[in-house]
Amino acid sequence: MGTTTPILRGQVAEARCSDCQVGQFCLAAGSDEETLLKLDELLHVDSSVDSGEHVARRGDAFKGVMAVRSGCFKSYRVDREGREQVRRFHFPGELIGLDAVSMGVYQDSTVALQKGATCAIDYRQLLELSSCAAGLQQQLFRLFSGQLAEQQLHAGEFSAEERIAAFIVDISARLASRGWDGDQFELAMSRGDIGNHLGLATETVSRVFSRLRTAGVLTVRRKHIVITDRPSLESMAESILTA
Amino acid sequence: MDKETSSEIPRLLQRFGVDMPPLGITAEPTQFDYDIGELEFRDAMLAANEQLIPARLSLAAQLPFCASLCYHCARQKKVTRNARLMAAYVDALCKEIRSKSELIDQDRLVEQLWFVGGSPAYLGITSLGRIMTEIGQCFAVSGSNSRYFMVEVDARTATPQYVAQLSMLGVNAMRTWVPAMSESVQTSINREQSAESLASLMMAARRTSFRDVTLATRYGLPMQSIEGLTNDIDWLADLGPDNIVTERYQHRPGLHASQRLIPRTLLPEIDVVDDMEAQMTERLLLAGYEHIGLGYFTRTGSVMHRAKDQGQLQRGLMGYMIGAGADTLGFGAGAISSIEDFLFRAPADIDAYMRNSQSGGLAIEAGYCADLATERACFIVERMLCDGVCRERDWSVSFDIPFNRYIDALGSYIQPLVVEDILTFDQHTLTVTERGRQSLGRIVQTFEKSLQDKALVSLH
Repeated sequence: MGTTTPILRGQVAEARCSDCQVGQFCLAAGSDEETLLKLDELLHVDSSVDSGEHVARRGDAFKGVMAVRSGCFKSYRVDREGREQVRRFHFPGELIGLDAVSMGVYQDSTVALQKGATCAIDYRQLLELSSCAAGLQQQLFRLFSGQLAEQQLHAGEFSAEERIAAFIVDISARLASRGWDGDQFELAMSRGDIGNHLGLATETVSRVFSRLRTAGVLTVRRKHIVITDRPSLESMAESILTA
Repeated sequence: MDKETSSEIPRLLQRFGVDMPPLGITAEPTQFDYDIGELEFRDAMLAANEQLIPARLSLAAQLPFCASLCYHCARQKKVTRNARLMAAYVDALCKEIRSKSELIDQDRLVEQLWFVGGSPAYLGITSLGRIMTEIGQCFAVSGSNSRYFMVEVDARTATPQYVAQLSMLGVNAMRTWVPAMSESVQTSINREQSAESLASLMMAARRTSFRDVTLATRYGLPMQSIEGLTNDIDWLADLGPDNIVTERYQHRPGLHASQRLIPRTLLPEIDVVDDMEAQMTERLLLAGYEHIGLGYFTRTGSVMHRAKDQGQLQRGLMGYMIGAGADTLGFGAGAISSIEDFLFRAPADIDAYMRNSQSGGLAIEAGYCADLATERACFIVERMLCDGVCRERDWSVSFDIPFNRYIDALGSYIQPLVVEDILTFDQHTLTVTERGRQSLGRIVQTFEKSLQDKALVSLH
């Protein structure tokens, strides 16, 4: 393994991929025993993050990919007029910082929406390891391409209902694929963030949630939603998800 | 000194306005915590704004001034002729409205507005107009016909012109107090009120097409007889208001100084008051009113009746209200705001309140945060009071613990109510019986008792 000066700051944690709660859905997914051991040897830097705290800022030098261990994060950019653009949300087991890989600097700023924790891994070490571990390489590719697909999710001429339905179906699938309950979850992001992300006015977000509740598709209490009629929700989301 | 002075008014009773004036707020600090203040208020407002579907918004302005003292009154009030004080109060109120509004997202529509007293009318229409204008500038106010903007109107002084002016300000509902029509009762509570003035007010309200008119009366007052009361009730029903609110007079001279002017010897015996309640209920049902509960009677087709049918009734600081789950912002001395699971209270002292508001404060003196046990109890009690039923599926949206496990754990409290045919329970649904609807207060008291005993604190 090549020598790399650790450029990551924070607490060097005891935690390793093999005993991490989200490990099996994160980088380690699909890795064999040997790769897992090697992953464990990589430098992991665990940080706990408070709500509102930034873990990356646009323009900063790329330090390493971060896996979300807990909580929910928002990546955004601010345009020349000072308007915020919400790019994506990150849930446990997902990676933050892939936008920085090609340019070496972060394209997006990323902020914690609630108290959470991240685990940072040196990217060069990771690449070196992945070059000789097919399973890890595939998983890295899946994590990359998954985020690209997500970006395409909300482009195009779709109604507010379709956008919100697709948004919920997408989050539900992402959570379910990582072993969480895909039928009920908390949306940590604000109405404004959801609206911004989907290109909808804040009040439209509330109106659509209200309509979905009246139609018996969802139950909504505060920020907690329960999918009560999945077939209807999926059929609303279909035109976007198959686009 | 009466023993009531030191007694606390328990939280559920307060929260659901049981044994309280349905429009009034308790005057005594109860379980409010002085460590909960502006910071927590700001946090609660932020969290409320951030809900996926923000709760509806109700505003309530406390206008505590009166021209004369009604001895039985349990409201916060100040009898004064000091016009300068009243003008300064309106200034402070407008300032508070502005400060609080800055914390509310502008897409949150104000659908309900309450002007409560004291005697709101005593301030005059110009002051009301000023407050209304301030509210209109600071909040997104609903222009829809479904809005509910209510003013308490004093039949002793209101003219048809006044009612028309209220309507021009956007007010579309009114409530009038008619404690009693008998002369001896009126004298003993120092509130003279003529039948003619009330009849002409009702006509004016009808001409102005108010969408909801409520007459509120009292029983158990000094010198009151069953016959006098039933005559009053028949007459009120003949006037045909949308709602008739009947409220039991609670003699608490330790809590409300003006009640010390009522000699205990003039009060009817408790069994007579119970009899009054029964006879009054019977007459109102005969006259075509439906008993929603807790002495609140409404006509078929009224705004409240429709809200009940649609499951849109809530019980809160203002008594029964339309719009389940609304957040309420209170303005004025002693006003209470209810945001999410918090209650916040403004200083009750008028001078302290005005100083706080004028210096740019949010007029929050203390707060109260419901714990999980209280939150659960409130959830069930509200459904019982408003819909007469609490279903497992409604419960499970809000709470993790299975409904039947919670009810089983409350067994020793609920069983007596089942035996008395007030409630039924079938594993999925807790239902108020027809008999139970006449004694909803018992249900509130039962849940209150379970909280006081800390019966379910460790239930997870």
